[in-house]
Formats: sequence, structure tokens, C-alpha cells
Amino acid sequence: MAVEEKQFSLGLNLDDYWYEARHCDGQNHCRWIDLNYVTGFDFAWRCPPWQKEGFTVYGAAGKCHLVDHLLKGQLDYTDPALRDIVYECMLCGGCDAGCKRNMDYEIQLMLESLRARLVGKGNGPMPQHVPITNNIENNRNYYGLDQRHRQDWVPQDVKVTAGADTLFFAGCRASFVDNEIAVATARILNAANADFMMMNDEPCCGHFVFITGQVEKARKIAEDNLKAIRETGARTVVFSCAEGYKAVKVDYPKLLGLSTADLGFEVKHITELVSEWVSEGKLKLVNPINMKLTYHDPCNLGRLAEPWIPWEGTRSTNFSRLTPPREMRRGIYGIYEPPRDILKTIPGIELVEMVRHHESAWPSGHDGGVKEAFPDLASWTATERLREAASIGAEAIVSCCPGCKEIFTENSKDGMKVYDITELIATAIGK
Amino acid sequence: MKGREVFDRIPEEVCRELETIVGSENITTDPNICMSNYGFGFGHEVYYLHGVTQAPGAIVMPQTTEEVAQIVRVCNRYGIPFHPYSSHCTSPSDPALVQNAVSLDLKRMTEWEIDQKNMYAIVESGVISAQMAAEANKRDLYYIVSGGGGLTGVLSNHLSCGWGHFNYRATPFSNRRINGLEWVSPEGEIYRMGSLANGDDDWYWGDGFGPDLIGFLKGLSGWWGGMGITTKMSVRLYPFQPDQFTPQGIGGRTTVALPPRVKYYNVTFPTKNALLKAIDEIGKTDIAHIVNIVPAFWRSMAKCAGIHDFRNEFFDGWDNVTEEEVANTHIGRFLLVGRTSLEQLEYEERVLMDIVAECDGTARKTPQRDEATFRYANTADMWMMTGCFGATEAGMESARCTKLQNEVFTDILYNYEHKHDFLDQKGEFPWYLMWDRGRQRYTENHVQPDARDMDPADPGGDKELMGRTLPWIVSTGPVMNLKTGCRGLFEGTVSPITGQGMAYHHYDEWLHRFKTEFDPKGLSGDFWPFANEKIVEGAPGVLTEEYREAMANAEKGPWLGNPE
Repeated sequence: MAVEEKQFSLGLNLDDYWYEARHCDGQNHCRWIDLNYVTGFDFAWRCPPWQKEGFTVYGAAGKCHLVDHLLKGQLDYTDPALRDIVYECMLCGGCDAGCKRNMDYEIQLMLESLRARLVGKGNGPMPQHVPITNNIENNRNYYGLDQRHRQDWVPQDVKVTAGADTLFFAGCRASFVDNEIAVATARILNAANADFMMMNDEPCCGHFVFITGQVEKARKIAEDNLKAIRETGARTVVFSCAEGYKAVKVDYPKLLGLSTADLGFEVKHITELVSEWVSEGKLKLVNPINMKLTYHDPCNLGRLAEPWIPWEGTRSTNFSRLTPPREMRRGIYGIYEPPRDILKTIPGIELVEMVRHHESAWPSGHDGGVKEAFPDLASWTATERLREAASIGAEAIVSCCPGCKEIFTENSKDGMKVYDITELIATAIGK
Repeated sequence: MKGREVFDRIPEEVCRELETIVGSENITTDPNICMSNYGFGFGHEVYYLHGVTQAPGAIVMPQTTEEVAQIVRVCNRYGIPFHPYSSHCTSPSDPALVQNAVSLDLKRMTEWEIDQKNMYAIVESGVISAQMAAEANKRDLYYIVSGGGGLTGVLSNHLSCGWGHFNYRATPFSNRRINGLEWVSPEGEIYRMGSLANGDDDWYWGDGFGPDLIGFLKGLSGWWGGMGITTKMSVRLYPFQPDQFTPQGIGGRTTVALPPRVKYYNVTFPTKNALLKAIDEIGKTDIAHIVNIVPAFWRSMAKCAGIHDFRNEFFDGWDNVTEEEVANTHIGRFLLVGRTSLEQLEYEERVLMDIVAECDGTARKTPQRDEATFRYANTADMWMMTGCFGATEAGMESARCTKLQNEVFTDILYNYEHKHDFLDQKGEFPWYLMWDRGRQRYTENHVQPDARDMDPADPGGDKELMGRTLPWIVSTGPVMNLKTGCRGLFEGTVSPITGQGMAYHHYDEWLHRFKTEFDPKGLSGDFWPFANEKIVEGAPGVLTEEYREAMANAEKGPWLGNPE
């Protein structure tokens, strides 16, 4: 029988994922969507870089072998070609959800740790990521813009209540670029009589820094932001941005050795709250929107949004069972139904599902630093999703993340409309 | 070329020629990519191929049969070995046993079409079984997803194993389900076989003008990439029913809801013999669509909810199941399909219930949903318990022979002195199911060791396990087959095929003759069916005295247990 392994933990140390790297069974559930949902030849694949580039190393099965060779010293962490392979990936979590349908492998954490290791070896992030990181460090926002203008989006009619129990964290993109999302969210909160406050100098959530593997910098941001949020006294922090939502709910505790339950406040996406308010009758979605539309699950709100649960233990001598048993984050308990429930409630909307949805959703192409470093792949990925939406006769695609809206809008052709769900909710409540 | 250009293993002039064929985006020599492209789980753990297999020197991704032929001709001109792979699923056939080979990754070859009226599909190498099954279902047809699962390639499975649950209404011999076929020979010639040999674009049937080579491509268990490259084939589809499956659930435990004319029946029988008798009777009446026996540990697998890691959840259940319970639990799982009408389903149900009553069975409440059969097959769960899944031998034979094989498998596994190296099957008899409407049966002896122990590179693995189990795994099957006189299936895949002589009708000599004739330079593949020869070369002790004695006796006769 195998010897008992030394104590290890879930986190961002690549060495702790040697088992995944070594014992990937190569079935390729990381390449294909849940097979019970396959409807035919088209849209059966789940991994954009693997589908576009073809070579197995662009998928998780190949990455397992890559990591195996790296851990054994057979490949060089400082190889620029290696860096390009590792960063040509959205870290969308599709492979992780696919693998975990049947296995207990922590593929997403392995891939996050691989980037962290490359950064630690001085071979990451990509050059295109550096100026953005500098912006975040120096100006506290993704764009390097003047933070004094961060809340310029707040219109006169929106009521912000200092000292409220709820903190609205608007995020960089909605604050500086896609203002309509921040405005819609604020008006929805007002309409539900949910008083909210905002931070005086709301920082970048740090998602970009974390996802590009810059773990030490991300940890510093997480520490500072968590302290600042706690100092507001908020009991609930609400997001309309899926990236910010996942950063605070999952990555901050992961980086800081906490569990999500230890944060000291609840992390909510606006769709969770609206769904509750609609069912309670606090918010009425009465204005019709006559449209056939489809919903795109943002990775950071769906399969990657399960609460972070720390684990530390060993693999036993008894068939390498984990000791203690590990509560798994398989992507099952992400925020999937609230957005759908909302859309189904709005009169006039006909909601149709794409082939790839819930934990099998194809990503928008925006995340993981790919849009900045591999724009062709990002654009191809978004176009593929828009093609899927068109294939089911949707007139519009709606999502819950400013990043998704941005890349879909940039790539939309043939009249496919693109919305953030907050815009539709605001319309439905007459705001 | 994609990634870093490195020409220390394959000369640059060869790579440049290949690049002109496939384009710069479809070729790489980057070690990061090449080294991540071989030695996947199934092969690398169970059959001790670690250290034997080699990373390719270059990978190319052709998109047409003509490109494949051009690549093969370049390789022949320069004496470069080459091998193909397609879905890359669990595949032991992807790595080369030779150094500095060119890998042909065929996943860009994804053309397909279905002739609904004539019930066949034309398909290239990159299409997987789940895709084909879904497309067939949309046209009131079904496709036989192999036991390897929905992630396997349609084309590659027809050339190798290709059998699964759906064989109940069709032949399990997958080469007999092939119609027209395009093949690039090891020297780069394009052959069109089956009805394509008639000169027109007719993919309709498997027999063409003159001698048929399709059987040679399949043989006993296929060449696994060792005999040229099949790029396109027409495979048979079978009549089903018009309604679609409805997928349900998220992650972990998704299922499909069965349409009205598709129905499962789980039936408990008092004894194994009663269960086997029921199966015989079902075969005689020509009803049913899938006829299966439910192994006891499958039930513990099915109960894993996935909240915690599957392995702990599985063992929490399985550890509490006693040998006595296993010995006294006999469950058949039968799928009936009203292919022509609901009335047909009702008729078959009445026949089934008559048989169940005659065999003292009790129909159980059966959820009308399916987790694995229609799209997944056994890729769903077989790895989750121990991280490793293998089989020592399988039999595909008549009812009498397979029953005998199954009894011998059961006995050998139960009495194996090191059986605790594997998942304890608690006296369970190995996998056993019915095919070809009862005319063929199948049994397979599964072993599930800890993946860490089967991996010599795992620092925490049991270093002695391979030494004590590999001889058992490699040698037991052939000996068992000679004892029973039944045909085994894993010669050449689990056990070496060279040297078995009359025990296998000198099959290896035929293979070598074909190889010499079609691949005089020996550049094509060099994987199975000759992989095990390499293992035996490196570890001669895996062939036991019992094995050698059995082979010698077989050579003397009487052959295969036949006194005549």
C-alpha cells in the first residue's frame, strides 16, 4: 500500500497538486461538456484554447502532464514558450467542473498555482499584464484613471445612505466604463428600499492581479480591501460584477487562509437579492420586454462562485483516500438560478437555453488576462458564444458581468443584442 | 510552427516539409507541447508503460486524408516513425514506443454526415461517440457508444474494441459495423475499401469489389495505430425511437430523463442462476434493448452524492457491504424500447414480466432516468474509487463459454493471494452482459488498484506492488483462456502476443506478415499489438512458469481444449 503522504492543503502551492498532475486519467472530461447535455456535433466542447489551438497541452489534461514534467524538473519554468501556453487560458473553470463530474481533482487550483509558480520564477505574468497591474497598484483601478472620478457615475436620483448595512461594490469597469450597469444596480437597490452605502475610495477588487498569477500582490490587495470593507461595518456586500463577487467571496479567503464564512459579512450578487425580493413581492418586474433571449452564465458567478472551504490533510494508505474527507467545490452550487428566475419573471421575455449552460457554460473569452494578452483567442471565444446564441434563435444575449457584456458587444454582429441583466431589471421596474 | 522550434529530434528539413502540408499553426516541435502529449492515465498506470513510452518529436494536425497521406509519405522518405491518435481519451494508443516519432493528431478531422434513410454515418477521426450518439438520436436512430465511453473516437473504436451496452441488439464485432472506409497505408497510399472500392462514392456497405481488407485492419483487437491511418469511415446506425432524452441536474450527478417509449426495469432475483436463466429467456424472446447485470459496487458508486470527495463517499458505503450481501444480491437491469410504437413497449414489458415471474424475480421500483449509458458508458465512474482502472482479461463468446470464463475469473480473483492490492470486490463475479440478442455474452475481469501504487514514478507508491501483480495481470489471462478453451480479448493489449503460438492459432505470425507486407520500413505506429513485447523484454519475469507451461502444452495439443 502507498505510504501516507505528508500533510498538504488546498491553496496555491503547485507542489500540492502533484497527484492531479501525475494521475490525470486522460478521459478528457475537461475538453467536452457534460455528455448528458451533448445535443449533437456542435457546441460539445468546453475549452476555448484547446478547441482553437488543437494541441492537447492547451487543455487541462495536457496541463497535468506539463505540471508533472515541471515538478520533476524535466521542463524549464523560465521558458517563454511555456509562459505563453500557461497564459493562453481564461481560467474559466470549465475543465475543473468537467473533471469533477467524476473525479476529485483540483484542476482549477492547479492551474492557478501554475501561474503563481511562473510568476515566482520570474516568467509571468505576460508583458501585457504589467501596465494594468501597475494601474491597479498605483491608481487603485484597472484603467489607471483618476480615482477621484470613480463615483462620477452616481446620478442625482440615486440615494446613497452612509452607514447602511449594505455596501455596493461597483467595481472598476462599471464605475469607469460601463456606467449603465452601476446606475441600474443602484436604482434597483433604491427601488427595493434597500439602503446602501459605497466606499469613499473604492479600490479595484484585485481579480485581475490574482488571475494573472501575481499572488503576493493579490494577497496584499485582499488584506487591504478586506480590512477596508470590514471597517465600513457592512453586513452585506453586493456586486453587479461577477469578477468582484468571486474575488471577495472565494479568492480573498483562499489567499488569506480563511473560509468564506469567516469574512464577517455576506457576499451577494445583485441577482441573488433581486430574485429574493421578487419572490417576496418587494420588487415587481412589471414592464414588458418583448424579446427572445438567452442567458450566459459568467464563470465567476457560476461554477467558480462556490464558497471557499479550506482543507488540510493527507492521502491515506487506504487507496489514497483523503483524510479528513474533503468537501468538494464541484461548481454545482454556483449562482445559476436567480438570474434565470428573474428573466422568466419579466413579462414578454422568452428565455431559451444554449447547449452549454450552467457548469458547462462556454466562457465569454474576457477573463484570465486573455483579452489583454491573446486578443484573437478572446475574440474567437466570444464569437463562438454569440454563434451559439444565434443558433437557438435568440435576439439577445444577457449576462451578469460587465466583462462579458464588453466582449460580447465588441464581437456582436448580425444584430445580436447584448445586455447586462441589471439593465433589463431596471427597465422592468420602470427605472 | 506553434511554440518553440526545436530540431534536435526530427531534422528541420523534415519539419519544414510537414509545415508546408499542414500550415504553421498545425505543427509543433516545442518540448512543452510534445512532452505533454503522451502517456495518459489508462496506459501509463495499469500496464506499466511508464518509462517505455516516448514523447513525440513533432506533432502535426492534418485536416484531410490527402494531408495525412502526404505526411506519411514524407515520413517514409526520411525514415521517420509516425503514429496517429484521435480523441486522445484514456488512450493507451497515443504514445509511441519509438523515439523521435511524428504524432498525427487527427482531432481537426471532424467532418461527418448521417444518411438517415440508409442508417449509416460517415465520420472522420475527430468525432467522438457522444456527438455521434446525439446526432443519431435526433434522427430516430442510435449509435453504439462503446464501453470506453462517449469520449472515445467513433472511428478508432470501430477499429479496436467498440463494444458496449448497446450491443444487445447488434454484433459486438465492431469491424462488422463498418461500411465504406478510407485508409492511408503505412507507405502513404490512399485505399478506399468496402463499397467505395466499386469506384463511386458509395459508403453503404462493408463488402466491396474483390478481397476485403477491413477485417485485416481490425483483426482480433485492432492495430491501435500500428497499421497506417484510417481517416474516414461509414459506420452503421440502428433504428431507435423518435423522442429525445432530457438532460437533468448540474455537475456530479447529471442524468437524462427517458422518453415515454424507453423504460428501465431493475429486477432482483433470488440466485445467480435465476438471473442467468432470465437473461437466457430474454434472449430467446428477442425483446429488450440492453440486458445487464448490476455489479454490487456499482450501487455504492451510484449512491455517492458528490458533496465530499467521491472516494470517501464510495468507501463509506462499500466498506459496509458484506460478502454475504454481495453473494445474495442478484440484480438485472433491462432496458426496453418501443422502437416501432408504445404498443411494442407494452408487449415487451408483458413478456419481460412473464420471464421475471418464471424466474422468481421481483421487479424493483426503477427511476426512469439514466446517468451513464446513453452518453457516458464506463468513463463515468470507473476511475473514481481508486484513481485507476484496468482489466486482466475479457471474453466475448457464446453463452456457455462466457459463463465458464466468468466462473473462472471469479475464482481466480477471489483466490488471488494479493487481492487486497485491489479494490475488494467481495466475491462479486466480474462484469457480465449480453450482446447480439443473447447470442454473444461478454465478461471482463476488472481490477482497481490504487493509482499511486501502479505508478513507479510516484514517490509514495508501493514499490513492490507492480512486481507482484504484473505477472498475475499479464500471465493470468492467457492461462485462463487455455484452461477454458474460450477466446480471450486482451491478447496483445494486456498480454504479449508473440510466442503464444498455437494457443492463438499463430495469430502473431499473421500480424507480422501483414506488418512486413504493408509496412516494410516498420515506421507505422509500433504500439499495440506489440507493446507488451517491449514490457516483457524489460521485465521477463512477468511471464510466469505457469504461462510458459500452458503455452507449451497448447503447442502440443489437443488444441484449445478440443480433444479432437
